[in-house]
Amino acid sequence: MAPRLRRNVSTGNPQRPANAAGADPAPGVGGGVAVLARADAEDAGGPAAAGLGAAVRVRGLRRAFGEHVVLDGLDLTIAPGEFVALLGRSGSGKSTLIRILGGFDDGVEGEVLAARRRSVVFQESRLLPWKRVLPNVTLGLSGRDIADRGRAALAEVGLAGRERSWPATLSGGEAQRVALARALVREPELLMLDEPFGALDALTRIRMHALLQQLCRRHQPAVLFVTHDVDEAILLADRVLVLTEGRFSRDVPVDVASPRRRTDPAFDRLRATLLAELGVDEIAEGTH
Amino acid sequence: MTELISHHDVARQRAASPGPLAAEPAVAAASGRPPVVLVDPTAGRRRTTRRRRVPPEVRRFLGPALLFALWWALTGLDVVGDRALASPAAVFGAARELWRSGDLVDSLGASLYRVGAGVLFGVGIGLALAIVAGFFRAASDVVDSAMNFLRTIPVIALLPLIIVWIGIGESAKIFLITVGVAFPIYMNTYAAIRGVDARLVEAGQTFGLGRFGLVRSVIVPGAAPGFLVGLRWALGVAWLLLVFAEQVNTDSGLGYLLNSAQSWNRTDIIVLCLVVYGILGLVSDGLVRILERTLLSWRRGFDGT
Ligand SMILES: Nc1ncnc2c1ncn2[C@@H]1O[C@H](COP(=O)(O)OP(=O)(O)OP(=O)(O)O)[C@@H](O)[C@H]1O
Ligand SMILES: [Mg+2]
Repeated sequence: MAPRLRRNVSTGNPQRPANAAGADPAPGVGGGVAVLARADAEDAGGPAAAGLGAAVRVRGLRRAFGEHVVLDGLDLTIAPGEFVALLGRSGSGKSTLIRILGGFDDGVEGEVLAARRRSVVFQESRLLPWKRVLPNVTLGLSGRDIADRGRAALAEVGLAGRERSWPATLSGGEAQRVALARALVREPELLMLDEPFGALDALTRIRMHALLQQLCRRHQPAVLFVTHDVDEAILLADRVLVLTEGRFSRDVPVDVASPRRRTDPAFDRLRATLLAELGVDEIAEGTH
Repeated sequence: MTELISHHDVARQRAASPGPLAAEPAVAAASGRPPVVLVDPTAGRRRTTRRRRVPPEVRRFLGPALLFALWWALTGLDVVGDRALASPAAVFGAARELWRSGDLVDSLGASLYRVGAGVLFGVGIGLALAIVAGFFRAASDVVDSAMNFLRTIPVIALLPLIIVWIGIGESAKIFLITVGVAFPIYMNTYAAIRGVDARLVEAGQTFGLGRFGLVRSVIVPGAAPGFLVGLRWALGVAWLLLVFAEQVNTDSGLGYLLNSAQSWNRTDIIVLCLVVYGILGLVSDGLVRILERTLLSWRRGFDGT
């Protein structure tokens, strides 16, 4: 238990908006409205907050590398507390979108607003090898109780007692859990994950799914979760987006009864739809 | 079933019949495949508990000790004449003589001062240029191309120009060493700063590190290994240049002592100077090693030393 990390969420079961592409101010999420900041201008100070009731608001986003247009007039709204999975073929621009929302890209056109408090978990843990686990988690934080908060976050991901380990001595799953703790200790209003479990084995993945769900339930961030795994997207998300040729070719709410099971016919239908959208023939898929 | 054989058995069977071990031929015949050759991949690499490991400090001294023994044997057995190479005893005698007269201490002091000052200035200048070029893209184009051009000039060739500029005094010697040290420091540190993993920089930015925080937490530790490589190289250059600098119109320092010994025909003093150079090199290497141990302590976490 980590009471310090717990955001002041009204207890009960906050119903997440299934599709919050509009002005719906996210019912039931008590964390307060995320203050939107321009992703490309950290702490600009001014009231950049335009899209109230959203953790991400993107309008007409375009990103090109030379001639190669990767994102072409993208619109995206993510409500506070909403879990959005982003699918797309390799090279479709998913990581590019995350980098833009993270504020690392200065070559964008269009309106980009994202919650001021935001964190990213990358495919590789990106822990600083010269810092032990705890200072990695509390990187960039200041204040008197940061060590305690860091310890609490590590306990939440099941790594209590590993504060003084060096990152290079962690297993892949442990390193990703540290990365998750590092993201969560900041109490982000927007949590972005770029194929966070892509390099993990199937068993560890299942554990990480459960952990992520539990942490999201507790902290209620808006989540943008990039994955290649259609099942993972359906298992975790409130809404699934498919990025194709610079635009979202699909934006479907996941209405599979929870607990979600792969054997559920609704699960199956959605999987088939998404796989088709990704250009994978389901019969071909079924052969392995 | 192919039975896997423990490495003890492997060792025993190896001793009986050298050559790799083949699986049961009957199995191979049954499956129609060539027999699988089993070897112990850890053979010869296991840390045996019986054999006590020699501590690395001791091993480090083994090389010089061997050389010393060879020297002793060569001179003691009269393989080389006393004129060509003085014996350890003669060199020790020379050391005692020069120590008593104070010449050795004076020479050592003068040389250490020159190297120390040159290294200090050289490291300072090299680091400053590397930081400017490493952090500011506009500066990097100018500084880096200039440094790469200058680098191609052998430092020794600057000596005549230095003498014209600042004469033959102490400052000329320090200047020569400064120039020689600045280049390897610059080259390695600049490359190391540029080579810091951009993904780690990005991660640092994500988690709220400002410019200063990025430098302190990501770029400096990331570039430290490269800087230390440069430092080790630079110290080698510094000692080399010291010898050159002290050949030119000097009346103090190890190089002066070396030159004088040559004119006095004293091979014992010549060899003594060489030994002192060697010891100084070892000491400066040891200092870098200590610096490495402190700056790169995080590496010990995974290379197990
Ligand atoms: N800095 C860059 N310069 C030039 N092209 C780039 C750059 N970054 C990304 N791209 C191009 O943008 C496209 C999208 O890249 P991105 O990394 O966003 O893909 P992705 O959807 O994350 O793919 P994957 O699923 O394989 O990670 C690719 O074609 C890539 O080559
Ligand atoms: Mg990607």
